Amino acid sequence: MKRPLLVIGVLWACILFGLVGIKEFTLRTGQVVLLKTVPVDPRDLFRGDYVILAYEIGALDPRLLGAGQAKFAQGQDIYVELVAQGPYSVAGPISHACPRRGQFIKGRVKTTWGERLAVEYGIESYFVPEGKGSELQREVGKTLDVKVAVDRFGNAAIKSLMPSEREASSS
Amino acid sequence: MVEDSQIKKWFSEGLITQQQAQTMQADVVAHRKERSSDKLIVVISTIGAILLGVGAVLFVASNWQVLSSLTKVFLMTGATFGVSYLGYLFAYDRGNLPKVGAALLFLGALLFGATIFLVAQIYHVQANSHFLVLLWLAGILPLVYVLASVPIAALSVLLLFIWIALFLFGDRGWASNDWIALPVLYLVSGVLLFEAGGLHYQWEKLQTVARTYRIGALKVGMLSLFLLTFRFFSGHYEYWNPVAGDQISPQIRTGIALVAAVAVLLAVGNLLRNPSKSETWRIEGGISLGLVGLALLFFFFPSATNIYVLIFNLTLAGCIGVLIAIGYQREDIRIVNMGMSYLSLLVVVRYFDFFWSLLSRSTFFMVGGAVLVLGGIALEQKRRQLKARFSK
Repeated sequence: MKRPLLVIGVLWACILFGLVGIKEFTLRTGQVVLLKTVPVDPRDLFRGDYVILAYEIGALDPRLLGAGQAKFAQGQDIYVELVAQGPYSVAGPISHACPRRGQFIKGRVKTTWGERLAVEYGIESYFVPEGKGSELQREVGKTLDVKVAVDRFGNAAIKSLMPSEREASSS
Repeated sequence: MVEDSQIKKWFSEGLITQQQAQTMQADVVAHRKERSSDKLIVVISTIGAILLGVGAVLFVASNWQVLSSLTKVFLMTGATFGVSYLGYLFAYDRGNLPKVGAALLFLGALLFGATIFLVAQIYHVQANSHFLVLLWLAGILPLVYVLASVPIAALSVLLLFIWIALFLFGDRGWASNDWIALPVLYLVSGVLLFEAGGLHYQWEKLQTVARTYRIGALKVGMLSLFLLTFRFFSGHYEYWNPVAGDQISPQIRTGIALVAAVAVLLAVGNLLRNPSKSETWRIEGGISLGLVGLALLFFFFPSATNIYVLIFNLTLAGCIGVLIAIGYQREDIRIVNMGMSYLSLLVVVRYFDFFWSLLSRSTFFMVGGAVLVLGGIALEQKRRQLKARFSK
C-alpha cells in the first residue's frame, strides 16, 4: 500500500510542479510583447471572477496575412508571426507549421466564419480578486494593454494587464 | 448475518435452546448497532471532507490577495499532501481510525483539484479549460484502484462527465451547435462506463468501485435518455432538425462513433464473460447494445419526422420497467427508487405535453393534481413496502 501511494504522490507532484514549470518557463524565457485587447466579465466555476480578453490578433483574415493556399479549420493549430507596430505587436504572416525564426505566437482556430478565423492563444482569461470583476467591467469597450511573455515554442503567458498606453496618452 | 425470524424459527423447531437463542439475538442487536454507528461515522466524515473541499475551492475562487501567489501555492500543496498523508496514517499505517482516514484521503483528492485550479488561476490559464479537469481526473484515478475508495470513484465519475461537457463547450464556444449532441454523447458514454464498471467485477477488491461506476453510469444514462424524450433534442421542426445536416462538427461525430465502438466492445466482453456473475447479464448487455445502436441510428440517420421522440419515450419507459424489475429481483432499493423517480417524472412531463392544449386550464390542473397526489401516495406506499421487505 505504501509504495503505490508514494508513486501517486510523485504523480501529483509532477502534475502540480509541471503546470507551474511550464508557465514559469514561458514567463522567464519568453520575449515580452504588448498586445491590444478589450475586456468582458464572466465567472469560472472553480476559480472565481475573471475577465475575458478579446485580442486584436484573435480575429484574423488569412487573405491579408500571407497564408497562400493554406486552409485553416476549427480546432487546428495556427502560428502567427508578431510584427512590431509602435509599442504593440500585431499579427503578421500565419502558417500551420512552426516558423524557424522571428517572433511568433501559437494559437488554435476556435471558429471560422467565411474566410475569417477566430483564434485563441490560451491567454484570453485574466483572473481578478472576488468582486473586482465589476471594476474591470467598467472598462468594457475601452482598450487595455496586456504584457505577454511568448517562449521560443510560441506558448504565451500573461505577465500583466494595464490601461492602454495610447488611450492614456490621448486623455 | 442471521435474522431474528430465523432464530425464532430455529428455536421453535428445537434446533437451538432458549439460552442459545438469546445469545444469538443479543449478537444480532450488537452487530446492527455497530453497523449503524459505522455508517454514521462514514457519513459525518465524508460530509466534513466535502465541506472542507468546497471551502478550499471557494478560497481559490475568491482569489484572496493578502497572501502572495507562491505562499498560496505552498499552502494548498502542503494541505493536499499533509491531509492525504494523515489519511494514509489513520486508515492504513496505524489503522486506528480507518473511516476518518478514508474521508481524509477523499479530502486530499478534492484539495489536489483545488490546487490545480489555484495554479491555473495564478498563471491565468484559460477559464473552463477541459484540460485542467482531465489533469485532476488523471491524478485521482490511480487512487481509486489502489484504495478501492467509493467517494473517490464517485468523484472520478463526476469529473469524467464534467470533462466531456467542458470539452464540448469550453473549446468550441456557443456559436457551434455541438452542445445539442451532449445527451447522445452522455448516453453512449454512460453505456461505456456501465460496461467498464461491469468488467471491474472481475477483481474482488474492486467490487465497490464497479458498483459506483455502474450507479453513476445509470444516473447519467437515464438522464440523457430522459432529455432525448423531448422533441427539442430528438424531434424535427419545420426549419430545424437538431442533429441533421452540418450543424454538428466532424470531431463530435467521430468522438461519438469512437465512444460507441468502445462501449460495444466492453458490452460484448461482459456478455461473454459475465464477470459480475449477474443473473440478468444478458438483459443488461442487450439493453446496452440496443441503446448504443439507437443512439447511433438517431445521430447518423436523423429523421424528418418525430419518430425518434416516440422511440426514445418507449425506450425510457422500457428501461424504467427493467430497472424496477431488476431492483425488485435483487432487493436493491436504490435501483427501484431510481426507476420510480423516472416513472413519476416521465408521467408528469408527458401529462403536460399531451393534455395542456386538450383540457381547459382548471380541469388540467385539477386532474393533474389528483393524479399526482394519488400516484405519489401509491408510489410511496409501494416503495416503503419494498424497503421494509429488502431490509428484513
